[in-house]
Amino acid sequence: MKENHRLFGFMREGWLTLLIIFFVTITWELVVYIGWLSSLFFPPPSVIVVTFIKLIINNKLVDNTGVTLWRVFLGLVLGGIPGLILGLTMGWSRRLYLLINPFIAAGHPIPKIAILPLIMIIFGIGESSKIIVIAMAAFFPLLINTAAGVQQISPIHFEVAKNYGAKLTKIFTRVIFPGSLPLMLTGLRLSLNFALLVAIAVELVSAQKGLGAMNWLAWQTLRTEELYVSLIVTALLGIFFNFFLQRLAVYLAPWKAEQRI
Amino acid sequence: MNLTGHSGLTCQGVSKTYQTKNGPISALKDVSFHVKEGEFVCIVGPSGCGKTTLLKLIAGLLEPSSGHILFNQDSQDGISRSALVFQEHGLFPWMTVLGNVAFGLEMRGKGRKERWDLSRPFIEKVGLSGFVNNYPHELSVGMRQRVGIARAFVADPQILLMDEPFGSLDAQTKLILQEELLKIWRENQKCVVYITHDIEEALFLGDRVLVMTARPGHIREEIPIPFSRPRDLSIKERIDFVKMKGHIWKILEEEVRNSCG
Repeated sequence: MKENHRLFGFMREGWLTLLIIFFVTITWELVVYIGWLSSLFFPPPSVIVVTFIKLIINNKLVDNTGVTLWRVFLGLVLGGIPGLILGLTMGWSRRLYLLINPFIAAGHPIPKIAILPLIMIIFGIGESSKIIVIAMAAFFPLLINTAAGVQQISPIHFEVAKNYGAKLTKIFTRVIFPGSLPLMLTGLRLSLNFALLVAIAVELVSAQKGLGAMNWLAWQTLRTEELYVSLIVTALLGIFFNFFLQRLAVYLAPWKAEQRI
Repeated sequence: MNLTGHSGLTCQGVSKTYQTKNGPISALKDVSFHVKEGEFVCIVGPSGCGKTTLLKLIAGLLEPSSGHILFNQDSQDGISRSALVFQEHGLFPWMTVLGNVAFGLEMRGKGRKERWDLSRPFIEKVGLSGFVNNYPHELSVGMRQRVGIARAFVADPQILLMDEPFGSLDAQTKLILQEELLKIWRENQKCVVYITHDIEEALFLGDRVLVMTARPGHIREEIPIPFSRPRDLSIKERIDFVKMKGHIWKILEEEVRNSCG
């Protein structure tokens, strides 16, 4: 019953969204056709679609998207995994938390893209500097959410585990890890979003390839339609990441996902 | 009474003092009592008298400041001496009914098959056969407490410790669960130490009632309950039941008044 309700609700909203997109696209096309909007700034959707297909055929779009995705992936692995591990240990040990948290609190609010020049001075203008900055962006959300996830586990659960004779490894695998998993997944989603954001930003500033670089090149050569294509692809990536991670959360943490959708 | 095994428990002059910012607080003072094999002992006392502290001491979650807690039987390899049933929130939200019930067995290193074989009869006994793979949030509060009881029995401890397990249930569910508990207990003959603030509950369930004083808690009176088993709800109308209830209530009232100054 409940499932059906949700599905119908989603479908209704989905149709509505599609309808609005359709309506806006038609209006846009018409308005440019009549000449009320300059096609230099607002190329009509038909031109954008043609450009999209052209860019796929000449491999430019796939190539650049692949580069961006690879950077996001590397950044997520190199920043996210240490964030996860440190988050788990900081959530577990109050002392470690007190020791390290000031640095986290200071480092987290810095816009990671602002560190890029410093990183480039240290590591050069190559690929590694870009990955380091993306990794830094992915590091903090996972760490902070994982630590919070461990800290919010009720002391009763530790008492139960202890009462039934759980050893340290079992306490970790059966209490700490699953107990913090829902927040950990929220952290992962945020990390992925930030990694994508910073990857695009880094590419805008200093890259030959990637969606951000493509975007910047399109601006420099005033190919507005390419600019729109790279923007749309970036947006679709973001939407896909969120959708994928929501599904993952439902699958991995069904006891919490129930309340979140 | 059919006595199986040689379980049993002795508390000798157990005291517990908590260190707080405002100086030491004495929670328990010189508590001594003995629980025979297969005996069901209920402890009543004013709130804040250290009942939960006493259970945690027996469960080994806290160390007594002085005195001894002795089990009549040496702990066999890996078998927990005690299993605590908490008032609520004692179940792991991330485990299914089966995962929760089999937790004690899992901690003892039993394989999946054996865990299932040993758990199933108890899941059936508490009437949850159809909910084996459900998560706690999908169950009613009463069903969750049944899971908690099944988990404790499956772990096959020497002594069962229950901390107001039915405190948060409505009156009808409470009565039903009390009878179910007595039934399972008759079939398994465990020592039970059962904490409650409900005098009727104590008289209905127990072989003996220990009445505790206000903080620092110690045993003020020991009242054997003469009613034969199996009992049903009609004993609550017997004149001696009502008299005993009145007697215990008078003691508690006195203690509550004392503690309020």
